[in-house]
Amino acid sequence: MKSPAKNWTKIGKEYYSRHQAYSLEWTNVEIAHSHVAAAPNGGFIAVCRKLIGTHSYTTQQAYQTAISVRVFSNSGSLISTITWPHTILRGVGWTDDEFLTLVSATGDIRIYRDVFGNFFESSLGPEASAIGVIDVQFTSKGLIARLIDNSFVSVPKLSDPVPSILSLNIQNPEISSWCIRRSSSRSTDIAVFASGSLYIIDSSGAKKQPLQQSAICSMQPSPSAKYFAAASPSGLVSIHSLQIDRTICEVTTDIEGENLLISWIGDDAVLLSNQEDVRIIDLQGSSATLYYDSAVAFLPEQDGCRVLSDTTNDFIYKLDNPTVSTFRIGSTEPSAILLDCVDQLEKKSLKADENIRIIGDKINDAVDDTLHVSQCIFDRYWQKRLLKAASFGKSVIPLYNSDDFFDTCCAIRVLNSVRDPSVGIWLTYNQYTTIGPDSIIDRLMNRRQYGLALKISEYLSLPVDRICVRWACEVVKSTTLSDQEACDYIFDRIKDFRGIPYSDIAETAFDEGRIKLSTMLLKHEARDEMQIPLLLRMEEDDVALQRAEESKNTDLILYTILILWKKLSLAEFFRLINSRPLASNVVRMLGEIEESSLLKDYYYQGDNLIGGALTLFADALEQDSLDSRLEKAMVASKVLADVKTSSLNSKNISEYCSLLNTQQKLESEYDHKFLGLSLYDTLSELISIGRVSRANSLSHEFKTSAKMYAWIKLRSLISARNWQELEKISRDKKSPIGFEPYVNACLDAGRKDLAALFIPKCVRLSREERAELWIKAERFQEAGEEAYKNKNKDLLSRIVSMTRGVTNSELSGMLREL
Amino acid sequence: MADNLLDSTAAASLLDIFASIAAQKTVVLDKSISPRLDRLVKFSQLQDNGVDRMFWLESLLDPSTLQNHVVYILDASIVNARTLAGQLRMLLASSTHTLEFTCIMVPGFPNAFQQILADEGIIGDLVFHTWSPGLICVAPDLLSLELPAAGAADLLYYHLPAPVSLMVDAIDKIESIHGAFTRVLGKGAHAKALYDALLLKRRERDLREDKQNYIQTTSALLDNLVVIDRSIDCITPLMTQLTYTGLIDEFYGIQNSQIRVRASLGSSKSTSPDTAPSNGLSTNSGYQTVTLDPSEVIYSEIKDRPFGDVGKHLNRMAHSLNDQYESRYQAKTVSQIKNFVGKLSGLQSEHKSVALHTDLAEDMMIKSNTSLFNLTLEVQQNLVSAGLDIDTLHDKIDDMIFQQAPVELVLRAVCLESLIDNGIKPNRFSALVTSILHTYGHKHVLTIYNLERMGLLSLRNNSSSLLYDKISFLSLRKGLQINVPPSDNTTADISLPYAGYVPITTRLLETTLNALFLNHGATSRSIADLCKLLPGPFFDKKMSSSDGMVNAKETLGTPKGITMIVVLGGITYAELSTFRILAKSNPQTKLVFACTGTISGNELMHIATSKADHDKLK
Repeated sequence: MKSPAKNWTKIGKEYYSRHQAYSLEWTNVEIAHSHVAAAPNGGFIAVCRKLIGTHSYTTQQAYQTAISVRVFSNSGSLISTITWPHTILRGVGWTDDEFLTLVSATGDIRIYRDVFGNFFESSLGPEASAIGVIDVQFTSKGLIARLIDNSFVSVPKLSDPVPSILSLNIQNPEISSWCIRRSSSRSTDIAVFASGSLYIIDSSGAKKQPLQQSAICSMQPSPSAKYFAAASPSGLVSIHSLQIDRTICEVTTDIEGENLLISWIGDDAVLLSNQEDVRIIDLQGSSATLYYDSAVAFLPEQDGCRVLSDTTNDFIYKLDNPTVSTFRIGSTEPSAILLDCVDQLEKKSLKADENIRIIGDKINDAVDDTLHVSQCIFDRYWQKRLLKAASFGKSVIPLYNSDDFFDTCCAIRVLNSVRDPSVGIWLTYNQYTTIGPDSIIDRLMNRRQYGLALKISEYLSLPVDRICVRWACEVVKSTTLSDQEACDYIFDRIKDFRGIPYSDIAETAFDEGRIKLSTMLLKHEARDEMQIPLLLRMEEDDVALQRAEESKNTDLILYTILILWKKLSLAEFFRLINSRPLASNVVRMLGEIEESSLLKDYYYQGDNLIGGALTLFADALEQDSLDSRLEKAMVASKVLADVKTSSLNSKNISEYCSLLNTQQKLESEYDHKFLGLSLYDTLSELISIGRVSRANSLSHEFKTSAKMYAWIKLRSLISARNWQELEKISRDKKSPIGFEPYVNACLDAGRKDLAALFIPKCVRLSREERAELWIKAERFQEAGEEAYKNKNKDLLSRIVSMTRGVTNSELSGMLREL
Repeated sequence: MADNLLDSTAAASLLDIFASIAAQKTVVLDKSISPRLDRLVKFSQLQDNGVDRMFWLESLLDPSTLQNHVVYILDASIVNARTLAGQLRMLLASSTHTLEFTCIMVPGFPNAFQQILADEGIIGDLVFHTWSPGLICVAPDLLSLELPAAGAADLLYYHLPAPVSLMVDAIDKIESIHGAFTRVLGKGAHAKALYDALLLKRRERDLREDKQNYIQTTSALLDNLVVIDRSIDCITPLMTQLTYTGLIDEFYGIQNSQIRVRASLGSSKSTSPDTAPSNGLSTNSGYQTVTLDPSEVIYSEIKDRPFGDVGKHLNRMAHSLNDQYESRYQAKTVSQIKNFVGKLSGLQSEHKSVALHTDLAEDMMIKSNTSLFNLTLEVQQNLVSAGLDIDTLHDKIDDMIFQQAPVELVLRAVCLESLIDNGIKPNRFSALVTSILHTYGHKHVLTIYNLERMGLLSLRNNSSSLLYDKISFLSLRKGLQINVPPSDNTTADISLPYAGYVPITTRLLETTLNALFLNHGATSRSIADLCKLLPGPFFDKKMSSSDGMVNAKETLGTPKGITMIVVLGGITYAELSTFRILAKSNPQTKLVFACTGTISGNELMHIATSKADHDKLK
């Protein structure tokens, strides 16, 4: 196998390689007469006939037929042909996501979601459509169009088009060349060569840029926006810093012409062509010529340039140091020695070990370099050898972390499989790491390479569900099978994959008008929250509610109910709800929390009079005005009166109404706040303000239990410190609550004298208990007598010990008697 | 121990959301989320991620005080959706600068929440994120979802399984980290629903994983999952909790492990009360917020003890502290003095803690020495033990009402009677209702109705709404030995936390643990027999290879590590104390408790009284 170094070209001190990626399979393509545009990183190539140039626009001449844009893979196999319905096409380009974008003369934009004709439309705005577009250049997400009046319209993001005008502000400029210098969401500027001067235009206006060259026919910034190159028709090429404040080099070449093409190879060198010769010129001005049989198109990439001729697709790039030092003839770099080990091992020669010794402590670098070079090289033979070398090298490094090695092997395998001509996605390792494996999967799906996409996803442990869904959606859109057959066909093929969102496929079917297929597909959806919204869209209300309820997910049930409640008539709504207990509970919750009308309807249609009436009563309580409160409460009471089991509620609510009426009367009579108090507190208040007799009659009126009223009276008299009334009670013979509460209450209030009045009346208590009360009231004489009568020596002696003087001697006497 | 089960991503995921918003942010917070947020994220962490201020959702926002980016953190509920819609409209109309809004939804009902906002026509102004705090470690052995009122409103009042779903999600998360529980058993309708949903989750988990090199295994750490449904035992929360923490909950109402008490408590020797709010939101002063931290030395010693013993323990600890202070006089050498100084800050904080708890216990002593409190206890104890004839009990309940005992306490007693006595006789019922309405207001017509719907209160022979339908409490009392006179000698007696009453759930757990770990033979039969006495379905499932599961160990029932006890619908602090006593007497396994939150009888009653509380006449 010959060394890769055989293909290298030395320019200045650096080596460049022209690697033929493919010999192109396409036919009927003449680059010289075509417009070519490609998506970056090995993306599709769009080819159409040359767009009509600036000068000929006004003549409205030429082609009367509609334009077709052919889309090829990198290997030149035709993927699809897109027909442009108009006769004039002003812009053909790609976004980084590989969306083909076509622009008409009136500023209409079509953005193709795939290359099979699914597009959405956008526009450059009213100015563009009024003035007309001349030509268009593309950025990674957007585009800039030049209008006939030589102003420019910028759309930074096609997905969210906000056109803005950039204008040159000079009279009748003659623009010979322009390019987008920089484009991001923050700032976009373009370089325009007009009427012999260079202008930089951004949102703040146009600025003239001093430049030696008197004519420029092509210019281009480098991919990472470090440098700026310009070519004159005379063959003069100049390379500047991007700011154009510093000239890096200037070279006069023999490549001349009005239609020069200039392009960059990474940030390292420029390519120049006049459709006959191709020249590489590096930053030091050294150059070399490349030979082609036909005209070429340059398709710049971040790390090199694709060059298309009628028959070949080449990738031209600068070799980096590790690659050069590994393969240069006679190299003694560690990586070259390590690579030699593979030869020696195949020969079973001991020299392999000797090589390792020679490399010595540079073995780490050697392994890293060989690994790196294996990524940069495109030939499988050398990839294998380099990886073998790296593998051998790492075996002598203790504790080597093999992650990089493993990842490299995976990446190379993926890259080789997508570079295959049958797939035709030709990209470098660098490009691959830039866009990531997910984008590779996207690109494969754009090419309908579902099988490979699936395999790569599984190989790299990426999710496969979106591949399955996209495949299935495509089947749904294109199939002529019957609903059942289509569903079986789809399900059969993807049933082994877990977690497929069938609802997405079903939604596509629904959008395609295949309702039955949609329903069938939806049955395979495992997750309820994905199913229900679509079921509701499909008007499968009953099924949606059923699924929601089966999920036992309160959130989903509530969600479904909210939608159904808004959508259906009440009768329909409740017909769906009624047979479902959980849904009914959710409706009740919804009703209680915010919609008492819903709740009343719910109870009404369910013949739940109690529920309905009590909802009404709850409503009444939230009324501000007394009248409407009374009115609602009355209705509630009336409804309840007809329900046998609820007579108690009816009575209580009507009692509530009379209480409110009474309280209103009391308020006007006594100028005191009563409304809203309970009956208990109403009576309390009356007693506190000294209206005891009124309280008596009210208590009678409301049939307050005697016990309760006694308690009310006791508590409110104590708190109002109405001792006379209490004394009156002490003369009563009987009390519904006995007299102990009075004793305790008086004691707590500090009226021991008053308490003493009640103690003899506590006839239900034992003598001991009464004695204790006497003690608390500090009436030891009486306490002692109770103890004596009970013949309780211990108690009596305890009482004696508390006393002095006369009482003491008297009680001591009693104690002795016992 | 319990926090090892969690992957602690809850806080990080919230902070990630904040970090993803480049601008300075103002946070508007839903009060019901605050406890969970406080536990997981410090305010300073939010500040580090560009948050300058916080407001409550209910407060009236002045647009000029807001940053350009407003982040709402709220429970995705119907009410909050409307509140948010109203507030956004107000802000959009009145603000002079452009505001951007992010809404972090805590489930809740995220789908329905967004649907309401869509109906309100403002969904376009919001960027949505979902944040699930999940189970939070609130004590070394306790995980909690920290739902308001433990989700009991959903489970017992609306009869909706929303908290069950949240618990399933949390268990699913634990299982996806540690593997599946070997055995799942439980009792009650919601418990069964949890089990069914957990099986679905396991299947989904299975679907998510790479099918080729993945076999769902049982956990090497997790043994048994025991699921207990609050609805099998509504009696326990109605009883007054008599442990230290339980009684604190009864008197002050513990929220988020915090209580608000008079600022003077515990401050006799220390300096100003610590009123610094934890999350930058201000609270009124005059009161102090005391955090009951279960890992703090003093509190952890007394938290599960019967209140009666607490004084004794505090006294002992005060003495021992004093002795340690005295040790400074023994410190002669420099190194001894250094040693003492090193301990000093620990001693000081313990000293402060003892002072606080002593004051608190004194305050509680005063509250518990009232005749009304004792009357309440008397009623409860005699109801569960059938110690007094029912007429005497009725008189006592009436006395509570006539002395205007707090309505919650009265309702708890009434519900207790109804549950235990298979409903209340019609005559008594109407007299009782009349007394309650006369005393506490007629608005409680709604409360009575709600209690009936919750099954906590019913007429005799109205079997439809009874929780313990067809099961007499009598057989339960006998079968479960619910009443045990408290013995004086043992400190680890499960009858102590309720002074003679053993919660039904505790007996159920005790039997289950015995079956699981003591006699391996007729295990599930003894539990099943017991479960016949209780309402709701019973299940006991071992993972078998037929479910597509591979057993990590051949022998089931061999303890490997952790048994998790899930309580749906709220656990009481005193109940938790009994569980902990059981955990101590079962050293074969580590018990971890997971609950939807803690609940007290008063909170349970508040679910029923909430409608009446809407009365505008007050």
